[in-house]
Amino acid sequence: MTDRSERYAYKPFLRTQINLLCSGTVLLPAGFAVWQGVAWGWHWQLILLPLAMAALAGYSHFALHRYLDAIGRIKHVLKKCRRGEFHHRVTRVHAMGEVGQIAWELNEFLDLCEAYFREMTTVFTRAGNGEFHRRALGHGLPGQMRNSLKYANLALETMKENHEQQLATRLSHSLHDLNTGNLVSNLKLCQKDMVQVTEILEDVVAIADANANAASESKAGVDEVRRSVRDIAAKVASAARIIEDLSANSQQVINSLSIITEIADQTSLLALNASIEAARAGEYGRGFAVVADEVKALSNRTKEAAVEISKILQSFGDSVDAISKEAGESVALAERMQPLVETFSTRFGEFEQASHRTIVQATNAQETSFSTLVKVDHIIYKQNAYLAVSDPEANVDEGKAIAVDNHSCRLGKWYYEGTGKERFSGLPSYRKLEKPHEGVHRSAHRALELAHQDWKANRHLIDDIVAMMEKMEKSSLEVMEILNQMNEESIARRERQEQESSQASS
Amino acid sequence: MRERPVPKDQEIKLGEEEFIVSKTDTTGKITYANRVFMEISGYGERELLGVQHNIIRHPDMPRALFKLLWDTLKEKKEFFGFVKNLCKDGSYYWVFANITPDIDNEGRVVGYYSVRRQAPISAIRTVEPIYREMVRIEKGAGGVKQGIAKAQGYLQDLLQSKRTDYEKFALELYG
Ligand SMILES: Cc1cc2nc3c(=O)[nH]c(=O)nc-3n(C[C@H](O)[C@H](O)[C@H](O)COP(=O)(O)O)c2cc1C
Repeated sequence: MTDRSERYAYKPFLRTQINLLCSGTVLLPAGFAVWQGVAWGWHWQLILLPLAMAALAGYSHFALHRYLDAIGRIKHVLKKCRRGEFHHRVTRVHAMGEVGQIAWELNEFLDLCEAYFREMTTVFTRAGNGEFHRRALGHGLPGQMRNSLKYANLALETMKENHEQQLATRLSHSLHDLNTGNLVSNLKLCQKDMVQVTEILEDVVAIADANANAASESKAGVDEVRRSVRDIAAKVASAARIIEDLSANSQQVINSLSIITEIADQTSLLALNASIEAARAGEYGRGFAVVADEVKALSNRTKEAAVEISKILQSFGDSVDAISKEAGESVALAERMQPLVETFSTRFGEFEQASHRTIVQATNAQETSFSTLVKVDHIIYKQNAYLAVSDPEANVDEGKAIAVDNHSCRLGKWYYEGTGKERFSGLPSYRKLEKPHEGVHRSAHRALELAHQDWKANRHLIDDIVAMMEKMEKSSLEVMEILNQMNEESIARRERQEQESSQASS
Repeated sequence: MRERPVPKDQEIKLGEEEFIVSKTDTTGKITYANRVFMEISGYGERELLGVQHNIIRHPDMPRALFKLLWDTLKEKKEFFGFVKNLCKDGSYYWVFANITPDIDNEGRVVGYYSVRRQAPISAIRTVEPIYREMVRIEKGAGGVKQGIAKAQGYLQDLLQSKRTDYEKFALELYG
């Protein structure tokens, strides 16, 4: 102990005094008795007083040393207090009067000090660990101590507010960082989809353009064909009229020929008559001359008839010429139509193919845009999760929105019941979607549960919440990637089927 | 072991500014008790020093609560709780107890220190039926250990349904 104050410490003066007093109390009567005995002779009574005094001194010595001992312990405790140890007490000071009272006053003063310091220490230690619900308890403490604890509580209140503010900012910062990073990459995925849809639609527009051009060319062809057909019809009609004439003419020929036959008959009869007459009246030869006149007249008529026939035949030939000419023109028309009709057929083939491709591309575009819709829905789910988790009390609706499970959200319905199942269930990546999707919901639910707890009093909770949201994002990234895969696989499958069917048809 | 006092239905009230202090060693033997403690419990210093603190244990107190007390102290944490204590003459008094470990400079626990303050009546009304149910559960179970475990489970469930723990519950009741 090199305490500076020690140098000024009193020597244990009381102890020496007591020792001196007790020794005096024993020695003085003893000396007096010895002196008396030497001077006046020994007597046994001389010993009584020194004995009594010795007993008294002995008792006093014992009792005073108990007090001294207690005072020593009080001093010891006070010394410890000066070194900052308030947990020592002075016990067993029973029946020591004023000394005992001092000891108790000291003890109870120390009780107060210790209670005060413990309150201060625990309260601030726990506040340091983020436990602000523990306030300093001032009941039973006197004036200044109690006041001081009141101020400590005020300080704690401010600390708590700061801390909560800090935690709130920390949570919202972490969530915000996590969200922005992921939101951007999510939106990029959607953007990629939209680019794809746009490209596909450009294709579709190009095909439709080509179709329109081809259609207008085809229309010109169709007009020509229509004109040709009208011409052919006119030509055929005039041919029909010619044939009618022809048939009327041939009737006349038939009539003329029957007259000729009649004449020939009468001529042969007359010739017979003439030969008979000539034989019977040789001298009557003049009758022969009459017959000869008749024959001459007949032959004239025959000549006329023949002329008529030849005329008719002449016009007949003309008609046939006209017909064959018409027929020739019709053939030429038909020949001109042939290539037109052929281009038509190839055009229509092209049309058919183009509209097929249009259908395929339009289906691809539709699927991709639906996949984007599902993704956007998924992103909205996550945004709701961020809102709900960052402040569950203020964002009750968002909390309700994310409470659904992976079967009842839009993606879930699409996947388990709707178009998703119908179109994609045969694809290899279809099955892979279920697990990460369920994971997204599970993590979001867990994060919200944690957010409902008192995270302001527990900074580890914030880390847990952020970790849960990170887990959600990880699962969500998988969901997005698998959706992309499904889309790609479906498009590839459709192209393949398209190729196969076009090979089969050619 | 001295004979335990027979409990009687007579309450002694702690004054609003009164303050019971006691200290024990690591095993729970009393090393110091202040005068308010002695006055209220009716025991003298000589009867208390070196004696287990359960000398004032009241039979209405569930054992599970003391298990919680010691478990908390073993973790070097402070304990808060409402405790019903038994006086030498059989009467009882309610306190709001705060017990903290005495930790020396090397971080070792060298003893425990306890401050007890007046317990608000509303708080006593709240904890009394809970303690009664816990004691009933403890008595109904097959053994002491099972009883404590069951009563602890009961308390745990009750607090969980209120989204709190015993310390927060007690501090809130104290106000
Ligand atoms: C510092 C300190 C103070 C205690 N105060 C009380 C008390 O006021 N009342 C009580 O019944 N037990 C108190 N105990 C708990 C007892 O030590 C004991 O565990 C309890 O009475 C149960 O008794 P048992 O262990 O014999 O079952 C205290 C313990 C410590 C360490």
